[in-house]
Amino acid sequence: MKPEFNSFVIADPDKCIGCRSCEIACAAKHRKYNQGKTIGTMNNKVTPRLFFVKNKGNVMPVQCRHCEDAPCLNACPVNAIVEKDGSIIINESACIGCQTCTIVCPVGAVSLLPRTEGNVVTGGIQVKVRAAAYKCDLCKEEGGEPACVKECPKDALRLVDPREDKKDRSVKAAMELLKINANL
Amino acid sequence: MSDKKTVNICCGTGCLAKGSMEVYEEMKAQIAKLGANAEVNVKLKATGCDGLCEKGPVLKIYPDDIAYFKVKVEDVEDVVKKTLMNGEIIEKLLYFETATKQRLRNHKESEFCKRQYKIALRNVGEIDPISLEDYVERGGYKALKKAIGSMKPEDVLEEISKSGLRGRGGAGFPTGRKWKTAADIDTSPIYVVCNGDEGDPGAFMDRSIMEGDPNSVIEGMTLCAYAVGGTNGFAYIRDEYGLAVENMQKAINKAKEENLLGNNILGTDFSFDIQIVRGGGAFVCGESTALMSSIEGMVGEPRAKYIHTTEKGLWGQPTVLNNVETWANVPIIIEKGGDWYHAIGTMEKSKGTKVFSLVGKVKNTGLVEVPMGTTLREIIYDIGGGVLNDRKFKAVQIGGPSGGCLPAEYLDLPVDYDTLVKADSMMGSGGMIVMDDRTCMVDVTRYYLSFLAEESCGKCVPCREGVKRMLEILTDICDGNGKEGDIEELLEICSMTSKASLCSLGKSAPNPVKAAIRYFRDEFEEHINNKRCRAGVCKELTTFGIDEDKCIGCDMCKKNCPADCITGEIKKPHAIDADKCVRCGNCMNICKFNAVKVL
Amino acid sequence: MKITIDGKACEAEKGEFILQIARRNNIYIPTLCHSDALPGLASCRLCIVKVIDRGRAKIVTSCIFPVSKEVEVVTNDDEIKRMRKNIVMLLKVRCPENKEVDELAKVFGVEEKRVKRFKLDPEENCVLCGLCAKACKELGTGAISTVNRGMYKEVATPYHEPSPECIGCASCANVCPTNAIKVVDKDGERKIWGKKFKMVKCDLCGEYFATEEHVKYAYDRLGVEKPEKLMCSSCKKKVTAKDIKSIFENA
Repeated sequence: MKPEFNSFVIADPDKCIGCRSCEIACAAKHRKYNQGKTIGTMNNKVTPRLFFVKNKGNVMPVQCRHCEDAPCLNACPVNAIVEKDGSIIINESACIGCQTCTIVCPVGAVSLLPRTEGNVVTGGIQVKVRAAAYKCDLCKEEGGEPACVKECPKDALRLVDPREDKKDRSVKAAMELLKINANL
Repeated sequence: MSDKKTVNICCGTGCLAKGSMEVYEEMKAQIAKLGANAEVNVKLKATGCDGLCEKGPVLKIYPDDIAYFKVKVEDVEDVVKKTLMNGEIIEKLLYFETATKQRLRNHKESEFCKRQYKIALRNVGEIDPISLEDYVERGGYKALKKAIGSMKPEDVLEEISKSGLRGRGGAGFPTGRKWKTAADIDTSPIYVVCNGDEGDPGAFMDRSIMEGDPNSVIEGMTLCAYAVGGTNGFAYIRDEYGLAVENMQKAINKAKEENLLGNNILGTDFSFDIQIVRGGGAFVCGESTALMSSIEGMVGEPRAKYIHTTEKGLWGQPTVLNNVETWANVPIIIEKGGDWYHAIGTMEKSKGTKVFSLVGKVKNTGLVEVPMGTTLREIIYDIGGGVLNDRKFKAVQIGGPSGGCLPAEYLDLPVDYDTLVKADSMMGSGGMIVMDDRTCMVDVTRYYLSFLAEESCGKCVPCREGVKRMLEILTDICDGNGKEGDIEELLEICSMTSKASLCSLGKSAPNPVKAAIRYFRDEFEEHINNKRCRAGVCKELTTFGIDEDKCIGCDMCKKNCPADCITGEIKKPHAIDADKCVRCGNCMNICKFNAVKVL
Repeated sequence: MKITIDGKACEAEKGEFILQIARRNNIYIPTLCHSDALPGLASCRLCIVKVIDRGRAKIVTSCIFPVSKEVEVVTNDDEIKRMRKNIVMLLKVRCPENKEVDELAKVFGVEEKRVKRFKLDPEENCVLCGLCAKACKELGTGAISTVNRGMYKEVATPYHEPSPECIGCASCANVCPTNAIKVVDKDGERKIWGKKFKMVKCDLCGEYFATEEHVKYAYDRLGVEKPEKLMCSSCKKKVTAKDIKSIFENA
């Protein structure tokens, strides 16, 4: 039976120490060209798909809810956002950077960021940088095991599957959150 | 028993412009005056182009085979009273053969006519274009009846393949092969399209066929539809061809009334219809993919032909597109057989005949149809009568803005698809422009590029930017601002544009430039280095002067000078004041003693 | 099936474009008007390659040439290099002061002397690739397109007037490879293509983040009313984090 809600990653605000390893892990996992071994060996922009937020007394990363009937998917005019096995994925190469998805996302999970093209595309020539929309894709293209969850030193991130024990705090929180934006 | 006569008056666009409609109306009135009891029963026909446009209005009388030229309204009464009623010839209206200085009763004996072999033009000038009876009387629709009655579609394909017919629009693709590609695709609809966009400056072959024998095109397209499984036809006609559109539409309507077009043709389950689509005034819409875009209602911009339009054309469906002249040849090929057509002409890979519009500085301007392999010399000198005013031949531009000029050394080349290409020219759609010593080859090249710069669709860089900058260089050269290295830069841009452009407009845009530089490089160099235009055309580079030794003081130049800059007494050498001179060139044109020179 | 590109054997599906196959095999072919999001323009002609089939060579644009036979492809011989240089030379003549075109001109070795011979317009930045017009068409707005023919061609709104269809999203400016489209955001107002837009203020931080028309366009696509309070992306993230914190505290 299909779960009522898609799986998504959520951070525990009490565990997060704000080290941002999740962002780096995410960017590194998704990098198609020039897989850096350490930060010093990466020579293009770090483009994460989850976004670190600093509020007063609260630091944590925020990411995509993979909504059922996702507003971003529905709003995208070029069909760059698709649903695959219960995840909402932005096809980066189909995105024209119109930002319509960032307007309608209830959570702010999509960000417009500069798109890095590999040398096989640019030939090393300095081209004008175009922006595209980025958001969490549950590392589906890269094997399906979210890199941020794996790399968090404090185990603050968790992939929540709604079929799990509903008593779990993370799952409960996830359910609550989804009800907040259930209309959209 | 009254004597039956037919009077054909050419009412093609060329003669109409010279007042042939007024001649026609006057003839009609004069015939009416004769009344029903006359000894002579005259049938009057408004026909299409006879071919001798330079000598229009053209009037022909059958069965007497008398042809009158440059007929004026004032002459009509005499034509009726003297020739029709009494068989008396009006000498001054007969064809004047310049070669023998004799008047000919039947102009078909003239050098202009007897060297031609009219196949595509077989009916043009002989029939009333919108009369289905006239067309049928001369064998029209025999082919369609034969095909539907006793041939299979494959048989029709076979005859076209055997004939060796190649596209007459310029590219020369084997027609049989094109049809077969579409016929092999099992789908519906399949479209059959007529390219009537004829945009080459100076070309009017297709116009004359559409105006003068529209049924030949309609029957051709219908035969193709039968052969390939075509379901819908489009005749794309350039908007400027009002008479062609009108006559094609009338002919389509009449053919449908007689079950020769439309649903259930000749009572069978074969249906095919033709719809006319008018162009929007763009030369580029003569390119097949741009034409199809235009029919689809989109902007007329070409697209890459990596997938041929015979596989995916109009609305993604197989589409057979051919030129007007190609269509006109189809019915006669089916009627007489592919082998008959294949035997015409002397060239191995180009069969049949080709229609040329012979224009420019030539005596017999008009429409000429000759077998493939006829030489340029024969067309220009024997048929064309030679250079106008007997001036010196300089070049002939063939293939319009996609072709190249050829100098006198190449006059013995035969016309066909492949030979002229080796000389950096091409037969193209048949426009043949003769140029004399008063034509500046740099200026002509500049003219062709200015045409292409405006007509290019502008989508791709090589054509849009390449043609624009080549035009800039040529304009500079003609204005006296040519720079060192300009010729090399032109050739450099040519080398890229001819290969990297998206469509054949761009790919062939360098042709006039390459040919002109190849054969007339010294003229370019003279413009750039000596700031001199030997033809006396580029005003900034021209100073006219009078050779005192040759001038006999006839005063003709002075009389025709609009700027009053020539001085001199009768019978004494004249002189030109260069400061007052506006470089119109009238003096050089009019001087019979070659005394006016470009200094 | 297999094709060879510059001597390298590459797997290919029938109908695939040469550019795709090349990139997959780490072979670089220069492009300018190509975009994976808006493919098929083929207007710049920079990606030309030589396809050799049964001994005959033809020049095609790799971005839209579909392979159907096991052909040999050459991407960068002297003839192609020369043609690309001439193409870039013409672009530099068209846009003499443009940064991106200048970069290309340097890489392709365009001689300054050749460029200087022509009449240059220092204000021109558009290479007429057509990407902006195509993006606007895909959005469904179609506010701009290429107008006029031949050397008079340009990108513009109908009659060069402010277009009622333009929503001021600036997607055109984003996809433009040469920064030719001017977008000016100032004091809560955006100016683009001769049209003035009022921008929406974030309910939380007060930053202007989108035009009113773009917000309407977005919610129209969802078929719902736009929310009373609109927030910029950054503030939405902050509110989400706050919400998660409070949920965890109450859970």
